[in-house]
Amino acid sequence: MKNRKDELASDLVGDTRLTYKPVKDTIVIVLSGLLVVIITLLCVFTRPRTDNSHVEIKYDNVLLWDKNDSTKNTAIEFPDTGSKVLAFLKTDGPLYLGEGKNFEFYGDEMDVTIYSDHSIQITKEESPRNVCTNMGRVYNSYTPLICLPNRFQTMIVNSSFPEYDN
Amino acid sequence: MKTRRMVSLAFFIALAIALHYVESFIPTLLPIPGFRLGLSNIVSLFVLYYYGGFSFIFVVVVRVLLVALISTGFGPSFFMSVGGSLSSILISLLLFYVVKSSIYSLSVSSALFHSIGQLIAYAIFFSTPYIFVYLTILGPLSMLTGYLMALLVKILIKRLPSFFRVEERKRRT
Repeated sequence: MKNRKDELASDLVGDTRLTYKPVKDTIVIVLSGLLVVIITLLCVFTRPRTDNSHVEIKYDNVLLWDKNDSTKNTAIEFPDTGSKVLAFLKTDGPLYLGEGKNFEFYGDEMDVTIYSDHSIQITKEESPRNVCTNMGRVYNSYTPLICLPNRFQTMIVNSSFPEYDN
Repeated sequence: MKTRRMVSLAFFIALAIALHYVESFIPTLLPIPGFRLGLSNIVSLFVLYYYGGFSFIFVVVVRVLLVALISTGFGPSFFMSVGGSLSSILISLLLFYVVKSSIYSLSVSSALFHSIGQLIAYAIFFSTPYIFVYLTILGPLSMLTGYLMALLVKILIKRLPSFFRVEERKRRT
């Protein structure tokens, strides 16, 4: 007849699988950590580059296209050198808005500046809180510059990897 | 004996689903989407150490199916949880039967592989590989919660009531 102590010793409580094994466990945990680091580094080094990108500007959630372009190309190319200011006035702008439509925004003018290093900035606008001006220059394709009171949305779009909807 | 095990496993599945539901009421310290404590993994881990691999697979698969049926539905979240469960089952069985490491590293790495499997499923479903950047945040956090769950399971096994021990002894002999 076994006593209670032996019974306890023989079941799962005394199982070696429940105690930390210094060598094996450390190796497994370190390998797991290394996996995280490797995947992070892979993501960082293969991240989408903005070399092959353009700018899209939306007004009232409608993409604007170049007035002089009959193909209705909504992709605005970055300038090769320096910077380029797209100035929108209330009745006029570099991009097509639709027949007989006017831009409605605070103030007189709204300026979107696009730089040759593939970054965008809203340089002039008037709104109650100036959110999009305070965002400064944006270099990546996942931060849109949205100005809700002025109904403008400006963002960098990557042409080098497929877009998806969700 | 067989009936007893079946009934016990059914209870464990019910417990896992209940824990999965209760978990949604626990506010996490960090507002990170996709980050959960993984309380239902306590049940899975316990079943793995107590009843062995087959019961473990059974409990996890049935739990995923039932949770989808009850609350989340068979949408993208179902594919994500299937991906996460499959990869964590694989790594758990590998560590349990081949490497024979302890519960701590098993829990840590299976929690990590659960996140990785979820992200793989997400990447396939939405066809974007760049979601893996998210592993930078999710990976260390899931490793931490995996360690916590291992601690909890060890405490649980230490304090098992004696009627649970009977079956374990019979299984071994």
